[in-house]
Amino acid sequence: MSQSILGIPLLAWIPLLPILGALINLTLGRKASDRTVHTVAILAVGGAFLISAFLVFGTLWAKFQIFHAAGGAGPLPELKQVAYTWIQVGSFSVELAFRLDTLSAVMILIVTFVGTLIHIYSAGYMHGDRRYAAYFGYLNLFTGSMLILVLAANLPVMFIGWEGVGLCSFLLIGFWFENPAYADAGRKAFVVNRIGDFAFLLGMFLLYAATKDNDPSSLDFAALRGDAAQAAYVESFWGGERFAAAAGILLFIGACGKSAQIPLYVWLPDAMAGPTPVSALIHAATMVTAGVYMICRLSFLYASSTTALIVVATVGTLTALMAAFMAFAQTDLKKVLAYSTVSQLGFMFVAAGTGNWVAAIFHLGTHAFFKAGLFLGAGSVMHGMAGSGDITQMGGLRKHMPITRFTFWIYCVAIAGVPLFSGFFSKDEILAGAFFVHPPGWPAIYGKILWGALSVAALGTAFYMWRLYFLVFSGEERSETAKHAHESPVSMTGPLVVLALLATVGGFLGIPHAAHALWAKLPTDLLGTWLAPSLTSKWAEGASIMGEHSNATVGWLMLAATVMGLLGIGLAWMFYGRGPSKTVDAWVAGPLSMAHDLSKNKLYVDEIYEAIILRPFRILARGTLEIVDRFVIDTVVVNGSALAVSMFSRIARWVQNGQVQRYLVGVVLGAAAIFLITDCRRAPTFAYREIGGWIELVAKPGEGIASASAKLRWDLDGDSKPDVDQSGVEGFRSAATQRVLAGEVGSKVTLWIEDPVTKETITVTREIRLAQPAGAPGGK
Amino acid sequence: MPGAFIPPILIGLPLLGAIFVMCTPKGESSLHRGIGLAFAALTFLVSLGLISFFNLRNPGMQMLFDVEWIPGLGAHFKTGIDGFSLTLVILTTFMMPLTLWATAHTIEKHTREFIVAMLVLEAGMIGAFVALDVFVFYVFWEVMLIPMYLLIGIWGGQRRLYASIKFVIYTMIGSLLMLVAIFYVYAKHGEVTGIYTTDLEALTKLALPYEAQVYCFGAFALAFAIKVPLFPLHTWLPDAHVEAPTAGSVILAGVLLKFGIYGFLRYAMPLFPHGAQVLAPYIAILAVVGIIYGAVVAFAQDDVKKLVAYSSVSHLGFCALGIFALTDQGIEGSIFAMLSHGLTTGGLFLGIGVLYERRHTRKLAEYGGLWKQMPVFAGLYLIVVMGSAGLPGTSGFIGEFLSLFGTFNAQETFPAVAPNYLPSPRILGALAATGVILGAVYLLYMFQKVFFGPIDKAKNGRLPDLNGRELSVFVVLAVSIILMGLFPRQILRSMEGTTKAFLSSYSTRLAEPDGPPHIFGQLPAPAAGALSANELKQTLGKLADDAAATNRALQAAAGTGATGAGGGAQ
Repeated sequence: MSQSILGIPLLAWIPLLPILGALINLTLGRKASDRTVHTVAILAVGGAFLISAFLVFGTLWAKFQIFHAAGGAGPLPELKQVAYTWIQVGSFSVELAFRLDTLSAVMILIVTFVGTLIHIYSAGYMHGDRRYAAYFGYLNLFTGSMLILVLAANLPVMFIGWEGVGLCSFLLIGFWFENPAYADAGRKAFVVNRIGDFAFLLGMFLLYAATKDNDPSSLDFAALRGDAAQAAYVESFWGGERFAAAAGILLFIGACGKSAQIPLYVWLPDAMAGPTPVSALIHAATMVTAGVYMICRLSFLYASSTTALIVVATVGTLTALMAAFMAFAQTDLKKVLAYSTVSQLGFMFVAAGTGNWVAAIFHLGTHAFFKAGLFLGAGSVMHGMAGSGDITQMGGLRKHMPITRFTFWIYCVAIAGVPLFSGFFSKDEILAGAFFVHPPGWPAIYGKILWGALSVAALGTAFYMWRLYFLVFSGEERSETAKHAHESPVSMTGPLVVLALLATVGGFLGIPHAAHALWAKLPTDLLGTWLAPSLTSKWAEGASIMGEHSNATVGWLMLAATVMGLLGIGLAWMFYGRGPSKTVDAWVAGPLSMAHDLSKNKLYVDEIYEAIILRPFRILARGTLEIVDRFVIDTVVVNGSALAVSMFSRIARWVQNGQVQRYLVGVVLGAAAIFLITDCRRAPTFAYREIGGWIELVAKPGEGIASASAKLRWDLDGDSKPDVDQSGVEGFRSAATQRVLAGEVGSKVTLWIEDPVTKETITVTREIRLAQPAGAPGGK
Repeated sequence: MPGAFIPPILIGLPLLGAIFVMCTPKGESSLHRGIGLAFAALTFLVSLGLISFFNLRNPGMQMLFDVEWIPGLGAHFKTGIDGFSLTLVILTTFMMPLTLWATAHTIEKHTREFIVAMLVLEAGMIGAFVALDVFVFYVFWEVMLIPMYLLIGIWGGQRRLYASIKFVIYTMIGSLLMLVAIFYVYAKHGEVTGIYTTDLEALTKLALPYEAQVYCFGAFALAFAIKVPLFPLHTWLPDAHVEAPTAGSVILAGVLLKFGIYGFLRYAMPLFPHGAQVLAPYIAILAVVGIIYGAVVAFAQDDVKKLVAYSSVSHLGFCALGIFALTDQGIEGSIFAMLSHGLTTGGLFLGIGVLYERRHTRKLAEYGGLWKQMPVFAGLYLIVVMGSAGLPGTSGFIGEFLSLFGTFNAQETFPAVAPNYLPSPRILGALAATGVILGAVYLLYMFQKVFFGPIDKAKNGRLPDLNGRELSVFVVLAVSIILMGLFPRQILRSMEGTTKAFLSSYSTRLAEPDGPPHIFGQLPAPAAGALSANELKQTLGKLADDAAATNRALQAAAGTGATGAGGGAQ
């Protein structure tokens, strides 16, 4: 079986194909017809999907079978291909290498499959746009970067994809850049992501610092997963915390940027400025899940630090709750979906933070189907509504857009967690995982708290999604536009149907083991089995992450989750089932007005950031420029010294004007100065200092005319007589600098200085005080 | 030595071109430009010969050329190439024809003199990169100054006189102190060996006492820090950039600033390793301050050119930090960052030139919405901007990543003499890495102001997109930026041997104890009265050991006697 084409490994072709597509469309696309443009783009992504499918279901599947048959022994089922050595400096080297394992296999299938669907959908949605080729070029470039991100065999290569998707996101959010608000949104996304990337970089550096002694060559995931590296993770790093805690939290901050978690989630709602298919692909199905994927990829690192896991799980829970709350009062179709995405990502992080990696990936997958579908459905609605996404103007669309309405219904059922739909299984697995989790050192009650909070968030999810559904499709049309809404073309409804199908059945990949109680032959936990070789199943301490738990408890938890979902739908139906209700209006105006305000204004987080970060930064920048740069450095120091020089030269010019009298004044003043200076002898003395058990004495006979040739005598032993050596010769100690052992110096040292001209002798006596006891180590 | 003639030819060709141009009649501006471009291009082609003669396995100086120049002074005209200078010379010869091709037609007055100034500048820059004799280096260092002064002062903007004088005085102050230090080293070397020479290799062998090294390093460092420029010696740069014509800005940012870093590597650190070791932490701190400060101040600019000028302060901070990390990654990353900065910042300035030619303003507020009008330019400029912001896959990332990486992992090599209150390299690395965020902040701010938003100025609605000449320039730049980002290894390999040799000789030199001026490795036996503390201690320790041994022997003898006696008594 050939594993390379044109000398480039087959795995590398998966990201390369979309990138080539982007290259073609971005350079030649402007002159090509729309048809050519989208054909190239769709073929590029479709081709990547075909290669992915071939490698996953062919090569990797076979390896997995062998591995599985051997009971999890032998080489891991994976395929690594190296394109070339990217960076090599000293002992540090990075290969441009790709690795297909069971984890990245799931991801590339999702990315290329959903990607292909969305490319097809875009051909209809973006029809007639002035920058059609640029759009498809960016979309292809994004797909390529995302594939680099998931296929990367090491952290630096992952970082190429990581920042690459950020760039494409920036370009696509600001695609309609004529609107300054959209351009701002794009920039905000990039800058906030960069904050995360900064932490990602530091995390990467730390990981290298920890593991370089074992394997200096790379930040390769295989090396990072090795036993030697594992041993380094549990070493103490700072303040009693493990190394894994520091590196893990830094990398998680990176994930917060990319996957829109508190406090870096603020860019995602604004990112809805981009074309809707972009929101579906980038801001729902793929890019925003990169953080979750990265944490699962580094599961062995996170399994080594309970602290890091607590941080991940807590941030995830808070984000899930907060975003759900913010979604309640939004009136823009896409904004509701955006907050929903943030909230669902929070769920995934809870899974990742409770060591429940399989559930995280599972929910990532099902969410990719139903959320991409929801966005595409929203796009279809907006297409029919002449571009408006204001749900207060909709209503009654069920009559005009039957396919869109039907598929939207399925997605809403799936996300609400109605049994047997995909979202039910994946969300339930996250909730159960949180309920049962017990990492070493983790307070026993903590998992239960997470479970409780998440259940509330799940209730909220069902409520706001069905509120959306009812407001859009039920009741009567609330505007003229809604009355004239029309169904979208097949290129748009086709992908909707496919995704609806997947959102319905996708959950059967992860039926919990407890279902065996119902039917023993039911294939359970398919995804978990498939992912097992790529994820760690043990804490660093050795205990199994997924402990034993009874089927009955699992059943009760499922029931609770179902009740929550149905309750949310029921509440939504009660309030919004027949369009906006008076009850709600009354409550919003009365007792709930504050909560409504907070939700509608997104807890004022953007305003708070503006006040405490952005404005101070702008003031700082302006202030630094005006005060430090222009005034202190340039005006005072630089031009000030120039001014001083020119003042001096002015004085000099005044003196040297050619008049003899003025020169004579100078001569007299100069002579007086010389007399003054020469007469001012500094008092003769000597200095001493200690150097590691030695004492150095230096004579300072004063600044007189002949002091350099003055005759010196030392008395170091404190007997008030000039020292003589054993044979009694005088002048034993006459050098200006003396070095003796500290012990040999008496408490009083005397120095005689004889002026060679006047033959006058001056005596200097000083007490010697040692700063440190003799023998202590000294400096240079 | 094979290829020995190439470096002198590289210096000579532009000078020859300058003479040619001077001989042509005055008003023939297209002829001047043609000759200038031809010679610059020829120089570039010849410089490619350096690659074929360059031996990757030889860490030392290659293509040595050495003739006696001023016998009385001991100065030789000595040039050569090693891993540090190879790529920088090629950067110089690459940027020069590109700049002339892109901008020479915009010069309307004194075209002939402009071309001459540019060619002399090129000769000066190449000379300073390949010089292996401090005297020759100093001469070329000053030669660079004059054409740059003229470029700003004659073809510059409104405040060109102020800017050019500021540029010259700033640089002169630094280089005069450096000259004093050069004299000192020259004299000391003569005193110690009896041979008065300005040969760099010979002078490098001289080991000065620690204190002298600190002062001399300080003098060199001042000259180089002004050139880099390190905070707070940077204020000449924005003025010079704003007033200089596009060509001047491109060469200033693209090549001239690199002499600061290169000077540290080639002169200051090998000549005075102990001085470098003492001052390195402070320079590293200034570099980090510069990274953040430059980025913050860049954000506050309303003039595009000033914004890019301050971005240079920030970017060169990475380079300065990298070399003082004293790790392979730090130094190679630093040089790579310089190469990348040459391309990206050169590209940024060329882009500003494109805008300026069309609108004759550099105010950010005057632009907006240009993407619609100039999509090709916008796309290519985005690549340059992303290269400058250090996006992975572009050249900017490799340099930034490696220098930060090198700093972060410099726990063992970072000067240990640093007082405890100085931050550790990890903290410095982490602080410097905030430049990654800030870089995106100011660069995207600029990009958005220029290219995004509606076209609200009527004049912007009529701007033509890139013409053939501009397109060729930006395609070349964009392709180089991406290729260097994807295939950095060849470039990194060319520095590898030299970097390793540099680091090992640096650490060997550091290991030698202090002493009076001497040739390295031949620390003279100290005179009887002037033993250094360490040696005295050793000698005394040995004496004490001897005495103890004698005592033990005596005791042993006595003990045997006693035992014998005891035995007798029993």
